[in-house]
Amino acid sequence: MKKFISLCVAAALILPVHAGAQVFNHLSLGIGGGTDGLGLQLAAPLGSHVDLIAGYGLGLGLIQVQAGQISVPDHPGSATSSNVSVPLKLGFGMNEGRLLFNIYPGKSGFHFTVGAYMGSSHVLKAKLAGMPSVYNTVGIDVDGYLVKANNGQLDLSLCANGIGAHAFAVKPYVGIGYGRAIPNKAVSFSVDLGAQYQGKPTVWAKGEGLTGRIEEVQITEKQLSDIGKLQEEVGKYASFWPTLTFHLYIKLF
Amino acid sequence: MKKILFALVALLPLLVSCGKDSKGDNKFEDPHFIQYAGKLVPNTYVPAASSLTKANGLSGILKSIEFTESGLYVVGTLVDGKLQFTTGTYTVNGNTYNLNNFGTVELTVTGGSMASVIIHYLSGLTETLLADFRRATGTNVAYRGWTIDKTRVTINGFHTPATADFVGCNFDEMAKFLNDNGHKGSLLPSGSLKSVSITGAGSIIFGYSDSTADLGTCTVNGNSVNFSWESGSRLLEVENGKATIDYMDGKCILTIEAALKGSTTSGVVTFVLSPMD
Repeated sequence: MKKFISLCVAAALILPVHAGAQVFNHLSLGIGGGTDGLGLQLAAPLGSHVDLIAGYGLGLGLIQVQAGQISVPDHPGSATSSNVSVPLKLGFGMNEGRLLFNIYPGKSGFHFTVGAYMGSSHVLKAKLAGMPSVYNTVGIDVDGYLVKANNGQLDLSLCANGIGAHAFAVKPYVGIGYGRAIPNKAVSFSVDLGAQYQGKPTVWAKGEGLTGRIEEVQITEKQLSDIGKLQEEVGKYASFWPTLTFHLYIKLF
Repeated sequence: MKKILFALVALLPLLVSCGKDSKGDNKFEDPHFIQYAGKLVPNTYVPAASSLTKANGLSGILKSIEFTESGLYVVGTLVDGKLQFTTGTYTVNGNTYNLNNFGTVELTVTGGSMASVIIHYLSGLTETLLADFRRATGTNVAYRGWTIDKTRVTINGFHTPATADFVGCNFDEMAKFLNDNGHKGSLLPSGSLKSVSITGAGSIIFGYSDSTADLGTCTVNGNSVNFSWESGSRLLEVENGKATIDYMDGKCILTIEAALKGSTTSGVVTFVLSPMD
């Protein structure tokens, strides 16, 4: 996969040189959205067959879907506590830049896209609402950070690093699409379908350190066995993030 | 091509990730009573139990007086064969230690660690004795009095370890936490722990809200703290003690792994401590 993407990127950079075409002689602004969040991006030509696209996407988590029920004990340390079922809601949580190359093999708008999404490793925001009130004070200790609910709500994040790290994820992307990022006229519309390689997702949450520091920490099977099982289950299907996007491009010059 | 290379170079800083902060500034000023700290142990004359009875409520046989680096004293008395500890603050004027709610201790070192001691109790009684005065040694930053900002308790529960933070260290709140999670919170003493002192004379002192204290012997070696409580300590209910000490963001982090005797409860208690002075 890495070799393929490297070859595509190299081709995207070399093609315009061989074509002897003008680069950066146009610029367009794209706005849109999809399964990579709400996006704002700039596109410039690297010759007649390649467009360079740089942008930024944000998943605000405004649209949430209920992904099931999680069973939690009403007192986490007690052998005799009964379980309470709380809903698990998921929403987009990405916050990342993107550097993409659209490669147009012909004169039509059909294109291949290669590149990468870079930045925050967050993919999904997860929310456990209606937690028993005891979880506002009692939680789990993760490497010295106390993870607990706030007003009955426990916020978690599903993160994936791709080929980067948690602090700066790099997720290679390949896809196909239709529509030009540099409109021939004033505006154009583009639809893209592809996949980001994001690797095995992990579960993170904010915890309070002993001295009051707030840090995001990874919750593993060591702390919560159910989380480990969840990660294993999600990891089977979510190593590649399906990316379907729609963009409207406005030609600036 | 130059433009592209320029753009790629411009993106390079984005690839540099930031690690977590270090442990912050952990420099502490010397405690104010460092030159007066030490432990006084009577060795030639033991006051009668009746003498201490007259001393403002204290009773029993005087066994020791410890002066900490941060201006706390701990008087150990033997009452009905059981050690009891009372704590308070002290000031020093010349060779006289003024012990709040106790009296004064005139201390004259006669040679080596031997000292001639005159105790003036608040009741007006005066007693003279010879004692071994073991001065505090070492310059470990841990050797001082610490107040408790926060206590974090993790109990190894039946489902999963459960952790809770408490402002200060109120045993009643912790007992409720233990009880709610199926453990015997009643084994904890009542009241609050107000201070923890580690001394260069080799003691660890837990001072409580009712001016009583627990005292044990203690050595600090790097991050490892080895201690054992004197007989009569309430904390004898805590067994298998193992402690570590660390410093972070100007705080002392004292972590004790322990189990309660006669209970299935085991876990970790972490104190976040600020310098007392």
